[in-house]
Amino acid sequence: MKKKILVIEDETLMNRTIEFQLKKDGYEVDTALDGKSGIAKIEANHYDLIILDIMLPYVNGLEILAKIKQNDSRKYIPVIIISATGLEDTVLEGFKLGANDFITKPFILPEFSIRVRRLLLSN
Amino acid sequence: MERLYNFLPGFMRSFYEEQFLNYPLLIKVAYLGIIISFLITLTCYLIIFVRRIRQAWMQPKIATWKNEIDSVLTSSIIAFNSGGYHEDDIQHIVEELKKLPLHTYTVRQMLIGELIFLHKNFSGKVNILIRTIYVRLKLEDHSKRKLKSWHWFKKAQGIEELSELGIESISEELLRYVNSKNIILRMQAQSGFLQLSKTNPFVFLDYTNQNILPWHQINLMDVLNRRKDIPLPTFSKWFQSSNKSVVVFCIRLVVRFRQMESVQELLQLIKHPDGEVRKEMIIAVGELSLVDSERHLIIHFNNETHLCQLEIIKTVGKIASGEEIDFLKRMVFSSDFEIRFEAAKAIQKHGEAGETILYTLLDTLPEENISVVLHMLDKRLTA
Repeated sequence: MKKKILVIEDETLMNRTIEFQLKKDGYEVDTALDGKSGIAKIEANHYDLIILDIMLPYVNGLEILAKIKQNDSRKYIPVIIISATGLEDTVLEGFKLGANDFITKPFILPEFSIRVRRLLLSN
Repeated sequence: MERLYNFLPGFMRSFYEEQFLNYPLLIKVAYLGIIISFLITLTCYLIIFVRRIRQAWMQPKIATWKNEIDSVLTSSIIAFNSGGYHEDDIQHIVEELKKLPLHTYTVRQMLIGELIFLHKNFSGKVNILIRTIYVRLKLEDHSKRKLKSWHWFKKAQGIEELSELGIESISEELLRYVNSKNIILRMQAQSGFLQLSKTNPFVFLDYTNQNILPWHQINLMDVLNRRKDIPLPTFSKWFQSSNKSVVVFCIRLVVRFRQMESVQELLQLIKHPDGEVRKEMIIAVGELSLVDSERHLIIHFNNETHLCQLEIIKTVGKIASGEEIDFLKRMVFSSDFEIRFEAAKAIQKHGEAGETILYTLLDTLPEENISVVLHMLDKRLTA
């Protein structure tokens, strides 16, 4: 069965590129363009991995991450954070909240693919 | 004028001849004022109306173009990254994009915007593809034309596009703007030069006589964070600059890139005449955790400004080596609230040992100084 991944990223071009890449890698991909719809999708579906941008409209990525990790049935879903800010504090905050990986923009797409695959395998 | 008069409807002409001409001058002027204001308002409404109509007409077109651009770019990037991509394939992408109405300014600008977005968000060989598309579609000329514009914002936009997409040939031209009175143009020129100059990307620091504002520094730092290929000089060489914002920026760069070879020059800045530079230097000592330099700061404590004194205390707390705890204990007795507050906080940062010291201080401190210590010992604040 195909692994299901949710991408929450507000930039359409970015969202689309990640979606295309993941689909090409053989995953089933769902997307959300803002925090609110992202949460709604997380609550309505089961995902094997969530890819999360930090700067999102309505609800930011770190808040979504905290919500995922506070929920007993979802806390084991691996989360990759993507952010334009590689600031030490943001990275640390992300890891403290339970993020499994942190990718700073700009990133190399093949490397991103490998990170996704590795996380899904280890989970 | 007479012909225009003849065009007026009859009631207006009779009003003009029978009433208007007989009015006193003040009323005539008032009438003219009302008419002119009315005409201006009407023209404004017309312009807004036409623009709205045009916008509404363009909106679906723009959405379609954006969608087409995104589709071509996204699929090409994924395909390009999978390897085995050849010259013919790149040419095919270019041909696909040429089908768009690139003669339209909006489409060209939209495509450049998307290329820049991708260039900023992805690294690796995909950037070669993005740059190739930009050059082959002659979008470079579109950006270069902006450099000749009368409007500063167009110039700044052109610089941003050319520097992001690595058109090195304009790097020397950018030096003309590094001292521009316009902050944004200056900022774009400096970050552009940083990205494009292969030989000496930081040379603008020698020339700039304008302030490098904090948000401007963030912008330059962002470029340095993204572009790992920019060669980094030893930033302490600008510590003697007459422009204090250059010195402050270089101290921050020394910290950011942990240039420990600059520590000696950094410590010399305690003698700098400007308080802001000294404050930044003190912060840098803490950021770099220069344990051996705590004493150096404390020696100069009494000669410092109030702001720098506070920074010294914070730095000693940040380093928390325990070597200068007696100094901090003395500071808790200070009559200045901020000094004793920061000193108690700095002691608390020493962990358990610090906490024990704060408890012992409670017995000897005067009444008005006890409150800050109790505040630091309050577990509810650190929970």
